[in-house]
Amino acid sequence: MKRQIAVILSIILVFAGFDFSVYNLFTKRYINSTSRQMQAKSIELDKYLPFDKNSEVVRVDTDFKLTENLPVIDGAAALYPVFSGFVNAVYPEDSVIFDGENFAPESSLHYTNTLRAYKAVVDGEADIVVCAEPSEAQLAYADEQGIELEFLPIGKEAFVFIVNNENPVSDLTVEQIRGIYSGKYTNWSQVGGDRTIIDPVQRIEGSGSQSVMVSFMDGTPMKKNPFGFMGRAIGFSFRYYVSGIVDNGGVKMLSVNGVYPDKENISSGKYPITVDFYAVYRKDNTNPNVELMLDWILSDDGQEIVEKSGYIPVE
Amino acid sequence: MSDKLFHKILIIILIIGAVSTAVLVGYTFYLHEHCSIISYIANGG
Repeated sequence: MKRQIAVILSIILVFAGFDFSVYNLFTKRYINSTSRQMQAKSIELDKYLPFDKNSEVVRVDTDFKLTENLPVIDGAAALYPVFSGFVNAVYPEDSVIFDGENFAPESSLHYTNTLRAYKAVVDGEADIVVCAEPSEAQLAYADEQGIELEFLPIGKEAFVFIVNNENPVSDLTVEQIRGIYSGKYTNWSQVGGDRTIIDPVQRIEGSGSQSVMVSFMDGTPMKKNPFGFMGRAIGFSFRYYVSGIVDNGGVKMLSVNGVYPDKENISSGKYPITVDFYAVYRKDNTNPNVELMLDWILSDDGQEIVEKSGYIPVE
Repeated sequence: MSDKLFHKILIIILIIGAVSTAVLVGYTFYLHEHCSIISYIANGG
């Protein structure tokens, strides 16, 4: 009898121990701290919805207004507040149709994020997309379709690296970051931290930040650490997305080469990793309002929206 | 405890254990697909 009870208890303990380990090592790390809408779309669309008095979209008075042949605008999650601000300033209110979750196909404002926005502009479903640089696959898709894309720089943003708030490391050099992502450094103690494994996290192919990261690595292939789940992670994103949109208290941005990515250091060029973001459009687009809209985006009013949305205007 | 009852209890415990582990692993894969880098790092990753 005692032996039987011991066997039963042992089996229960084995299962409980295994499940407890799985939960602590994996499950609890993946629990999303953002809202359901954020999880589905990377951003809360209604927070920056045009023409909504409760939204935080940047409002700028401008004399330039479009009433017909409205270019359809789409773009990246991190840049949604910018292109939503453009629409708010220039387009008529009835041009935006939002169903509470996403924009209707007939709306002049779309949001499909970088992955699909590049496809949308190539396919003619969007006239202007506001995004960071494209991936090779996105350029190849345009080539395959025989479409030439134009890239107009309309603002600048810092590309930032983030770690957990409790990570003692607050500064890395460009060489150290490249070393971490290439597999040269696998432990935080090699770059000034504690003796913990480094987990270099990447995003999916084709996302805006992943494309920028590939450029940043300058041809060096990136490696994942198979034991990374046992250590502390490092990730990357755009500054405003981390500090402005997501506003997540659990992470911190790293200084790079001793320079913190704040607005002053980005404007002055001290922060070493800044990237342009673009208004991307098809060269063969025949809608005359596309060019007018692009000219306006580069005007003082358009650039005011870029700046008030938290980004750096172009020179 | 008879052998028959002991075996029944063992089978029930094994089934419950296997199902709960499968659900936990499935849920973890689901979360992995939907978790952002920022949440992952904020959670202690």
